[in-house]
Amino acid sequence: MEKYYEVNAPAVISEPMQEEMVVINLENGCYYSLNKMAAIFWNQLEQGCSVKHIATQISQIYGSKENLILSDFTSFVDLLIEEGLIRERDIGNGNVLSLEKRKGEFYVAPSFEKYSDMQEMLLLDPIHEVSEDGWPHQKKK
Amino acid sequence: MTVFESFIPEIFSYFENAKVASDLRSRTFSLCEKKFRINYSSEMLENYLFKAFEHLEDIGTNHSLIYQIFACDGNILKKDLPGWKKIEELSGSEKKLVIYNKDSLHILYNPDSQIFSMVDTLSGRAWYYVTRASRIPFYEKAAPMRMILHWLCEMFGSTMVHAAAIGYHSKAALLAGRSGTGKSTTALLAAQNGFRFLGDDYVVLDNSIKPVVFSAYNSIKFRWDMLERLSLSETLIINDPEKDEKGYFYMQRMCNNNLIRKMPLEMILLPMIEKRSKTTFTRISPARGLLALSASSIFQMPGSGQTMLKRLADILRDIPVYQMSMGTDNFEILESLKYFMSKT
Repeated sequence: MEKYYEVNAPAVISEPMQEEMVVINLENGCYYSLNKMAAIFWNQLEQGCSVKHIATQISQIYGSKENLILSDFTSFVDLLIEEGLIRERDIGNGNVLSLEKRKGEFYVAPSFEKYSDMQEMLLLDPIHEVSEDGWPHQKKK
Repeated sequence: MTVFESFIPEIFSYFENAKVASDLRSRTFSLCEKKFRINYSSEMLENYLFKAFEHLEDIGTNHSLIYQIFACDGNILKKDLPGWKKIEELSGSEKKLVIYNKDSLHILYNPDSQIFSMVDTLSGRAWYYVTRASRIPFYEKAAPMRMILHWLCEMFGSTMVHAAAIGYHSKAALLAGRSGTGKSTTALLAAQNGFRFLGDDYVVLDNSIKPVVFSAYNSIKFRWDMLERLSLSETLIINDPEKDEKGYFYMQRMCNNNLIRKMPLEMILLPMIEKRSKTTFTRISPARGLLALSASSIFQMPGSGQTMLKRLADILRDIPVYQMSMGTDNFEILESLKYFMSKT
């Protein structure tokens, strides 16, 4: 059975920036920069495509083995769920991916860079634990 | 959140009664080329709230749009805002920010400063209440009415961001990143040495025609341990190291000529203090710039979320982003920055 996913809104917000995707988890203060393949994958998941459907299309566009891509994407989904960025949904659809690969461009596994320097601020009690400098400056212990 | 809904009519009446009871004064400011009239109830509020805006005081410009803000404290009617105890209860023993958004009405209660801000984005009117003007904390005096200005800016399509901004050769650079990365220090050193100054902590971005930075406040905050390095005259400093964790002063009083209200945005710099002999600038991906600017701005403006992220992405799509790895010598940092901004 095919599985479908969606962005864990409203806690998670995202925006494409050139070939990357910026993702912010407002609940835990972590923010992410997704590489090109992860950004494509994220965009297709948002549109309701199944992981298998995306893998098939990427395989056709990039000429890489579908089972390898499916394995990468399945692992990446696990990672996104673990980070609280996506959740399962009941139904989806099979949008056709409109993507042209550049000449000489190869498939690169999806990945992200994670930044958690805001996390400490966000996990604080917004008032008691902040200094007189105001939110989000942490009070010195 | 029905508690607000049940008290909103009474809150409006309270503000109307406070207007009648007070010796109402007003001052007009121009932010993002929009006119703001702030009506206020007492001289004490004027002393505490307006110095940060003084460089934006309107001197008869032709901008027709007027946004009205009414500011008062609990002394006027000798009682708290209706539902005050309920609002404090909503904040809970954890004393969290209380936010209410419904249709065009936006409310924020900050239990730390005991400041209540309310904006009706349909009418362009806002209300600001503080229990006692004398208790306004220093960070509010440095950047007063931030959430009100944030909401009003959203009304006309501009975005208030957490960043410093300086100008050189008619180009503005945003200095973005979380606290402690050197934004304020760089902005202050630059303003003392021939750069134009647009803001330290918060500035407004607008992309109606081209990306432009607008100044919002002329205050600068600094860590007390940086005082010696910054060569600041003690007479400028407003507050006391015994009371407040950071110092602040108003740029208007230091070098008025360097203050500027707007400038085209040409680059984003992400400063980083490193013990290098030479300051370097490395171009990085626009996504890094968006992350640095949006993360700290969104977490500073509760409730802004996806709207702010999208708007910032639209503004920043064509703006180059550089990592600015700074040395330790002030003179070298400034000369490198001047050279970089004039050549780029």
